[in-house]
Amino acid sequence: MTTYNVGDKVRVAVTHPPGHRRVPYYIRGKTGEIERYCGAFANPEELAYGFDGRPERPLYRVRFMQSEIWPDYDGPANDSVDLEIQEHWLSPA
Amino acid sequence: MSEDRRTHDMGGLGGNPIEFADHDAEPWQKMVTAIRAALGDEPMRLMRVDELRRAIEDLDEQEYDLPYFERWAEAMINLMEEKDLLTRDEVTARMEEIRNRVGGKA
Amino acid sequence: MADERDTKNPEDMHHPHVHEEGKFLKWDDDSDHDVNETGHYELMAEAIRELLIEKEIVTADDIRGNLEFMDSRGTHLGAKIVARAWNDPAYKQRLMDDGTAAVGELGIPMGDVELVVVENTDDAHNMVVCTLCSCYPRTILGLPPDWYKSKSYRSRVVHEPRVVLKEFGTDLPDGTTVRVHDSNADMRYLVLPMRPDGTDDWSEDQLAELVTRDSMVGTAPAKSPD
Repeated sequence: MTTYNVGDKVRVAVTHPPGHRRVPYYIRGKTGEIERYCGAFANPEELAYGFDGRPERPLYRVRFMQSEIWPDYDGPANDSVDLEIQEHWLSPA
Repeated sequence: MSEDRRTHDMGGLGGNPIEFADHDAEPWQKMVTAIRAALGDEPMRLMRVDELRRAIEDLDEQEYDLPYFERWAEAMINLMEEKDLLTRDEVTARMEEIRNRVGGKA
Repeated sequence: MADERDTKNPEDMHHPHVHEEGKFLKWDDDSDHDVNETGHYELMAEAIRELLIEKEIVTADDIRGNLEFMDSRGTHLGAKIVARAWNDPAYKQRLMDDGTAAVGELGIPMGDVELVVVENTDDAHNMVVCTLCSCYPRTILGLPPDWYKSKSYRSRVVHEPRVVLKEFGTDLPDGTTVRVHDSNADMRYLVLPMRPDGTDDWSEDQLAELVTRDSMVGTAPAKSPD
């Protein structure tokens, strides 16, 4: 039973904490849709500093429309970027 | 570009046309990769790839401009110092010794 | 295993060819070489290697084993996976459902990461990038090409994938959606390119020859039969 299900709309947090993060700058604050649940993984934000990264954190593939990410995107409306975002970076949109 | 965006975080920044010239990794580059992998092996897990990524991200602007494997090597030394595995001074001294050792006929 | 560095005889420490992995210092004979030939980073890699072995942090075998594993990875493994998927619909379904398990059937380990296979169709073309560093399915395809690791590819593919595809000489039919996958965490991606026309009764070995590295990263289609 995961917090988010396939198809749910989610928003990536806008925050720029120092340290090792795997949420690229360009996607912060953007809204997308859950494409799949990937499973739970040790947190790279902590692994990066020699800690065991546990408890494991849920990870989702999230699909974002290009037009949502870039105001100037000039390709077709369905073009997308998929990223893997940890649950703690997401909130319902 | 916002100060919030770190040097390595480059999605969407634009850039030059793709250059297709490719080179097989040189032996020293494969060596650096294999050393990191050996350090990361179970059970000791002395250097996870996440730690190396972080160490590369923490390089200063000049160092981040180095080519790919050179960045790895520099970051690995910083990381190994952090973990008390060896020091940069030891590496430098050993480099000099090797240079002298193989520099020509004895 | 006793390492040659263990010897107490200083004379034994002056032959570059004694170092098996030290062949990367570029010479393994005794001829005169200009010290300047040995690059800074070559010396650095060897220095790190020697120090770690002497300090018993890793063994020469550990390093050698990792080198050998890396050398065994390459396009041929990815091509085998793709050809199998083209040839065997049940395998293809398993590959799409659980990439890690399916490549595991072929003896290919994913290690700490998981494989997601993304399929090119008439409706959608997939491209893979890692904007944050250069994550790549290395246990399948080996080391990534320079362009994949370049700042240019990493910054542009998520923003202007169609322009980048054109630079690779890849034109997509109208109406094809482009899906970019930014490999930013624990998943690794393999593109399953479309099976070229005119290959209906080809064997898997023949099919595998059409599968290029670039087609599995998503910058080009698979080769067509001539």
